[in-house]
Amino acid sequence: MSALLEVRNLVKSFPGVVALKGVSFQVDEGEVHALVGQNGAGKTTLVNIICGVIKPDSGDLIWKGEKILLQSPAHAQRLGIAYVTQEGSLFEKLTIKQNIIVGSEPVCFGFLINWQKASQIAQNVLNVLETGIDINRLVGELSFGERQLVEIARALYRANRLLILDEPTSGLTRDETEKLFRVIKKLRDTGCSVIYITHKLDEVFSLADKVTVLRDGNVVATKNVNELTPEELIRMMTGRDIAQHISESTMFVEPIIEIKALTTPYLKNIHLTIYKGEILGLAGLPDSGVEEFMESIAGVRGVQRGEISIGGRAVKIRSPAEGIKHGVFYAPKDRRRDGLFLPLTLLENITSSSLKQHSRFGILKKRDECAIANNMIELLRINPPRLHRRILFFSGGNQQKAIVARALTSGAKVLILNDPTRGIDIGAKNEIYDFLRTLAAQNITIILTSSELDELLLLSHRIITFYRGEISGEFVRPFSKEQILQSIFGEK
Amino acid sequence: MKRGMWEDFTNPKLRTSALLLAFLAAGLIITNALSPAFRSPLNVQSILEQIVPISFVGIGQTCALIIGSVDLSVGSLVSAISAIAVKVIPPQSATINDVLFWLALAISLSIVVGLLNGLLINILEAPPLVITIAVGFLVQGLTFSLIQRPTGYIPRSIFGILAHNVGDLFPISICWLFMIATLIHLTLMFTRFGLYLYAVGNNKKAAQVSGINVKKMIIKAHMLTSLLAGIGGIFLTIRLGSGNPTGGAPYTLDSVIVALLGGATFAGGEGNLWNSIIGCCIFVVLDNALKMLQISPFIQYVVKGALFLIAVLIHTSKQRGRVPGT
Repeated sequence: MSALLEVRNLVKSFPGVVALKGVSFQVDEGEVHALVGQNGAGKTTLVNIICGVIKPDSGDLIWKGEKILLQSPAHAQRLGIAYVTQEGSLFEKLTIKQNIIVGSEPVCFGFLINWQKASQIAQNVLNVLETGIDINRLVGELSFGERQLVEIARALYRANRLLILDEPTSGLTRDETEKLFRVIKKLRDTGCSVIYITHKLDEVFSLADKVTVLRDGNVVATKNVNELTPEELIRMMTGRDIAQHISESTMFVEPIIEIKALTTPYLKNIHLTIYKGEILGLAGLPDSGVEEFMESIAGVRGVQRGEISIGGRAVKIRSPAEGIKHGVFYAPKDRRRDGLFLPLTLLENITSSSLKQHSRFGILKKRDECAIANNMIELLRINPPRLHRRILFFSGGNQQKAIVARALTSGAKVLILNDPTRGIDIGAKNEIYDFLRTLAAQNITIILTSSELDELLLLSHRIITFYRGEISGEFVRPFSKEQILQSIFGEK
Repeated sequence: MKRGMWEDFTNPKLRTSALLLAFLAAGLIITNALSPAFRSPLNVQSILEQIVPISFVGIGQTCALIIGSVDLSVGSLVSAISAIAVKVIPPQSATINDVLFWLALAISLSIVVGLLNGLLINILEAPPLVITIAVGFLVQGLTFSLIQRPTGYIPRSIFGILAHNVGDLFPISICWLFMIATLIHLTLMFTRFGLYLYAVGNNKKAAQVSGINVKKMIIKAHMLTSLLAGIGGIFLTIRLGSGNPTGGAPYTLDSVIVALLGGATFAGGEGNLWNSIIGCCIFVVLDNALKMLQISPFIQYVVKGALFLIAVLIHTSKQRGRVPGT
């Protein structure tokens, strides 16, 4: 096999950080090349250079044996390089069809769009992805998984040479993931190369031919996947061995939240008691009602019928603000869009839910604010510990910690975390697991869901499964993964 | 296939159209019942003539809103064009060449102002709101250097096919509006430019990654906006038959109101020309009705404000149907 793309000694620095310190690697024709590394290792910078979004400070890109200087994403696209970004980059108010073709639409006379051909193209690409979504639907109406598919469809239509996928399976159901893998393998067989960025190591082993590990802006190694074990891969990524401890099975007796006959447009008659200091895992398919359940008890969504009591008192939580007053804090799934104030500093993001506590007559007591935030930074090991740095520049793991810090400063007794480790690397994940356990040990209740069932199995004291808006099962340690899966898929 | 083609842009807007038309019809019926003078030929003609300039400026503004921008220099541009008219068209001995010269000047000025708006937005990377207000002041200053108060007289007859009435009643300017609006509407629906306009307004970053030259699109969109505003200015000048250095001033905000009424948003990525035009009709009819019913000018402002709130309300209720996090 010959080299399709070769990267030589790529260096890129941003104000304050050197993101790439001389990266070299090579993608052959018709291979699936996984790119792994912790957050901040430089993966995103590297692929941004490869697809022409940013220009390197120095170093060469060699495309099919010829040195190239990419001028723009359009230029990269003309060569056949397309990029599926990690954070949604779709046009919400356009249809699926328009989303797929925009930027390289079929035209006649150079300016008129051939909508008939566009429909065919869109339909064909979606057929390849084996999905039956109507191409005339607005993207804004689609579910998270469907959007991911549209993003991939967009890229597929453009790139016949090199497709760059950045964590394409986060948010996909098991079925959709399997479909995607089939498609990727099909593409590889037709000679298209794929650069596959992922945090999920099992995906590396089930899909990739080769894997390149990045750490701190350097390439640690490029290996054939079949010569590698998961343990070796983790060691290469983190530079150390990771010991994973499992939560102990414990008995909880003191209820904190009692839910009786909770009914909403998405949920039917939910009865559930949640205990102090418990880590409760919620599992279900994307449309099972898990997210709706979390949002209903946190006050994000309205409740039609039913009763929620917190600490023995019946309460009505009509908004997240009231939730916080009752000690219930919700951290949404899309932390960049719904959870953080990106242009604000770490300090402001930590204290934004508790400003009342450290202000007098509406005037902030800056010193109190900083003291509390510094405590949190120490407790949660947020790195770098710089209060006045914009949250935007922190890694995903540290951003998630900032949200938990906000919850804790607001005096939360119950943390509701929607996929807290989404898009976070293994090292930071383990840190998050550690402090969630520490918090639980301090009698704080944690309700969480995750796109990875293994994470729930590792972390939870108890797992509740949802199916079509109803509770379909309850499991305590030791868990049987088989039974939980059956319950998630609604099989008795 | 054919149906799918039309659905691309029209279908999600049909509900808005129906709602706006119902509102317009209700307005017409009520005013007609209350004031017999409302349906007099003279008044109908006046309404139709008033609809034209605001509609041109309104659809121009809609284009700016679709791309996620806004143009607050349109009013000054309209005024400038009327000021230029009294300077280059002599009232007594006007020839067709004078008119053509004025039209050429008006169109060129519009394009230059749009270019300036777009360039400055790109170069300074400042909000369009600020940039276009500044450019608006600039144009207003130039206008005041031409004329300082409403002045001049331009006989209607010299404008030829721009100013005829069809059968004494129906102003031909309505036909011009219909033709140009159709052309722009088709452009938005069936050309690359149109798709990119919506795409950039939806998500600038994604548009850039898709290979769209976002900066170029912003410049083009502002040129189109100014051009349409300029055409609005031309028809306003013809209707008034004189120059007024502040005659276009109300158009700045009115154009934004009608565009919002028609379904465009400040967030960008949506908007429909025909709905904006229906919005204009509602606006003008309401204005006329209030005058016909001899309602105090103070109340008229209140009604305008209420209309604006209704526009906003329609769209927030549309969005409230969506569940967060899905």
